Amino acid sequence: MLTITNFSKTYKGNKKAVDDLTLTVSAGDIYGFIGHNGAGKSTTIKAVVGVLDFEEGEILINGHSVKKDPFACKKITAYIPDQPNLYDHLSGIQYLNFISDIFKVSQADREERIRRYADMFELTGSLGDPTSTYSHGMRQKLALISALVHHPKLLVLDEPFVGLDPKAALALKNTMHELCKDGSAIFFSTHILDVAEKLCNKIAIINKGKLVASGVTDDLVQDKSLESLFMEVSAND
Amino acid sequence: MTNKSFQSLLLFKLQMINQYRLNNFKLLRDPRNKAMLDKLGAKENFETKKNNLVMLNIIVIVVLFSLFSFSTGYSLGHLGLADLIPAYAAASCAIASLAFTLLKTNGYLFGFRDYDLLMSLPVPISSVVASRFLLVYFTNLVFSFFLVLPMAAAHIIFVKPGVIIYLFWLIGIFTTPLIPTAIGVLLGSIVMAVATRSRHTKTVSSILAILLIMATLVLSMFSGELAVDLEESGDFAGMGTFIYDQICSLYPLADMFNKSFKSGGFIYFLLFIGLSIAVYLIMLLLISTKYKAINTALAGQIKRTDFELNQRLLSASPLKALYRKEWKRFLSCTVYLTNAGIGALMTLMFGLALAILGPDQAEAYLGVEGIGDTMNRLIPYLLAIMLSISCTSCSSLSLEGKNLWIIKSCPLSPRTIFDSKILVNLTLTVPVAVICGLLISIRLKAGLADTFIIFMIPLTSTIFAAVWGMYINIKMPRYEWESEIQIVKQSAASMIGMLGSAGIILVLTLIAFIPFGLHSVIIPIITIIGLCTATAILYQKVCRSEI
Repeated sequence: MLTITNFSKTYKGNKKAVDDLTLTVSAGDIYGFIGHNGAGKSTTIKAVVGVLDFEEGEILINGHSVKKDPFACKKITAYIPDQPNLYDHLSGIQYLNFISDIFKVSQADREERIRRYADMFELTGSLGDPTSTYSHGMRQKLALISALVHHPKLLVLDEPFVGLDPKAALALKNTMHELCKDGSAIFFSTHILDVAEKLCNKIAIINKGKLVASGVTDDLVQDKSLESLFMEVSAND
Repeated sequence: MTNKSFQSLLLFKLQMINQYRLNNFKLLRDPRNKAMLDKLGAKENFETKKNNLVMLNIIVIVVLFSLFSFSTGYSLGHLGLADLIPAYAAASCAIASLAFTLLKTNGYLFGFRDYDLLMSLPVPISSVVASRFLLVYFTNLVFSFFLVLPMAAAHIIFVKPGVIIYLFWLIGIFTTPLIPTAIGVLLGSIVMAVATRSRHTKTVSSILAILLIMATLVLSMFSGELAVDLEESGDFAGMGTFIYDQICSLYPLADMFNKSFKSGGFIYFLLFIGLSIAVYLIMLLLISTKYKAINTALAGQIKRTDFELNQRLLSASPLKALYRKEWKRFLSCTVYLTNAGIGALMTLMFGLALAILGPDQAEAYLGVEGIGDTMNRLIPYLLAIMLSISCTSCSSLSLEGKNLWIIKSCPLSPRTIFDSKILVNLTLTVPVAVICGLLISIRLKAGLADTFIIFMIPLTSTIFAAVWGMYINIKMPRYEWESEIQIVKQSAASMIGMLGSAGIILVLTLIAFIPFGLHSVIIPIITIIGLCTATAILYQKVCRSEI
């Protein structure tokens, strides 16, 4: 579903944020992307979803190049940044309808999905309010619903659990499993190692822009914990 | 200096750096930062070009206004009315400062992003308010410089005063904007206080702000009209007294300021200074008491938690969805609405006035009586230039700000995004062009050819202005901002977008006027063809652009 090959990103001033990163996320994967602050997680994620331009390497989504055919890639991808800044002047329902229009979700589908996910994240009652009145957690929930409303094949999330209450976090985890059962793939960054260890079937650890470990979670962790593995590979660098 | 004053000045300094991005200028111009510049790379180097363009725009505006102001003062002196110049200078500065303060209160004093941060600091509210007051005052001081200083020069040329008058003018430049700033902020605060009582805070504040600005402009036009009536009589001395009375009835402090420049006027001068400072400080204290309450009311909008999903969610095409989103954005932001909407509103008022009063009265208003048929020829161009100032597209892309990730991660072609922004601009201006065209054509009993010109010049101009604005914003986007006012009023794209299109229309018109003369039918035809061609070329460039 997602293939990143030799991806590098250098910012102005020759600062290499990501260096020769290669990884593959298959359909059905819940792929955790772990690293320190400034390790290159958000840079990689932004390049995957077409928010950030890049020169070196190749990123393919379902066989389409992010560089050459971004439109085809974006049609099947949903993205939520770490700070979901939404349109303050729109109400929650107007924002969801806007995203549904952009992704051309049919009227019946959007009504059914919005109802289901809004109820699941307990946001239905607030959908009539402007998003400017929402708390961080409510914005996160609305962004999640907007990502799920068009049933993406690839869901890319940057720190999705930050700001979510325990009930919403559980609902998100269940939804992630549900999506993967339907053949979608999920690629997300997180600092919460416990979540990554329990939720992800695959993980990748990035340190100072370089991939230091990747693969099936159980194979990597073995008899240790993800936390000790993370500390080990980070310290080795 | 007291602790409070020091804190206010410190906050003011920080806000100036933030608002006008002074660090950019400093960083990008200091050769010692060469290594840093190299690190920042091409994008930031482009900022230098943008900064230069902003400076160029500011210089052009300042020069034009200064020339206008000087010529007004010089004309008064030439007519033997040099004694009136101080009153005229104070009144001009007051009207400009008042109008701009009304536009700026929401954004400078209320509804800015770092409000929470400022209020969490161990600083008294009055210091925060004082620093924001200073920010507004500082901007108005610019008006004072290019309105009062040139008139002071004209006054000095004719009166040849002693040294003390030079000193009065110098101090006057700094004190004349104080009271209009205070009154403007008070009126703006009342608008915000009234608006927060409504569920539709932003809509109410936008409507009230527009009404206040229109009232200020109508008031200034009214005084101009009275002067024109007297000018016809040729009684310049009588006219002088009349103008003076009118100005002083509108702005009584102008009388006090004027008397300062006559013999024994020192007392009046002290009174003027004292009153200006006192009113400024009283308003500051008054607003400090309600400042937190208004901002809290603005932040704490009424929430409902009883929404039910029983409505039909109507689907639309991506372009229509973007257009709706963009239109709501325009209506939801008072600064955006007032800044871009005022041109369209003024055009509409001008069109209505022309249709009701007829061209003869319009000539009187504009001070160009007796130009006859020329006025009819000029009307489409006046409409075009006024309408082209209503440019939303030149700020629309930058206003995406922190929401940019949404449109960038959605399956949207840049062209669809740009089209939606251009369409919003046209929604604002095209109906005004059509209504004005219709009313004026009927009033002038225009023939087929003239009707075509009355419709087509404003229409082609407004389409050109919308596309031009979009093109400029694509070339000069700025996504990092704290308050919308930084984009709508102070960004390079906004200045070049709004004034550039009006300038280009003016230049095209002049180019056609010079070789062919005023009455040639070929002039509007050339203008229309020129605008259509320029629009087509720019639109092609817009369509090929990326975000």
